[in-house]
Amino acid sequence: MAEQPSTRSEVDPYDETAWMAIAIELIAVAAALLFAIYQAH
Amino acid sequence: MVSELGSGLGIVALGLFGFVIVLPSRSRLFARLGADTAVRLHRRLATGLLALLTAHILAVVLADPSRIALFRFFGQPWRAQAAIGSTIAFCVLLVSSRYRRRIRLPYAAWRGVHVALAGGALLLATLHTVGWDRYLMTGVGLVALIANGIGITPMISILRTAADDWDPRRFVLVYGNRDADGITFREELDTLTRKLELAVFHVLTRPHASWSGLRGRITPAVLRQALPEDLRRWEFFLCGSPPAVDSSLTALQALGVPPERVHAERFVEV
Repeated sequence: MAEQPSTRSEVDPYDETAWMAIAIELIAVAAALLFAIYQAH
Repeated sequence: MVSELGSGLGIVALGLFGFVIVLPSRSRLFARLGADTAVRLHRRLATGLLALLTAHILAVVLADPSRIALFRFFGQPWRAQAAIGSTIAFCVLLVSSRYRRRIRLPYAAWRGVHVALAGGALLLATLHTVGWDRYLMTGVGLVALIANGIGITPMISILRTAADDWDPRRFVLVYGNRDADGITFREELDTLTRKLELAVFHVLTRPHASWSGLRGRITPAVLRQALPEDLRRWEFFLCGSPPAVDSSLTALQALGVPPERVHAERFVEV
């Protein structure tokens, strides 16, 4: 029997790790920006 | 500002890399998260880490396009080579994880390669960050050059070598002359300020009325304007005519700089 292609979406909107990852990445970018502003002054 | 942002992105990416590596390790710290969630977050953050790494590289090159030469790898400073090695290891890590089944890599082999590449990439990234030593300021990381007239020649040699070696240390040059026409290497010094963490202060004894820079001889007051308040980690190099060097030495003494941090050479006409 031929293998059926998966119909499951790659991105699951109910996956809590998606929001965790976005939050962590936003914090990381904000930290880099604050660091740059502090060092430039 | 772009250069600082590049450094900030790099430092943050290194911290996040450490976090991403520790996440699936079943540490007690992440016990509440659950093993499955920790692994899924580990995968997601790896993509974000690639974006941060790309932004870091772009910002660093945008700040100084001549840094593109560092990508040649061979003949470049080890700090740059460590960065290239870390980036390659990280990219191989991502590709081997994404296409493990397609390349038919057995799980046990993949796991070994994955751990080795992650450890290697993190070690090289740490060496790269510590090697640039831009913010750690350990040891002698700050160099003050005080020159008068033709005493600029050894200073320009120091700065050229530092630029060739992508020296990350902070430099300040206080350069005394009679008037603006007497300033030697002016254009080259402007170029060097873009390649190095270098601030140049011209001090003129008889400037034109329109001169907006520092005036007079190199006195404690002039040095206070050019140098930061905390001089404990600075190393001083002086060169010029004997009266000019003696005057600068007196100024440094007045600022409380210890004599062992001062290296002076008097230029004698023969």
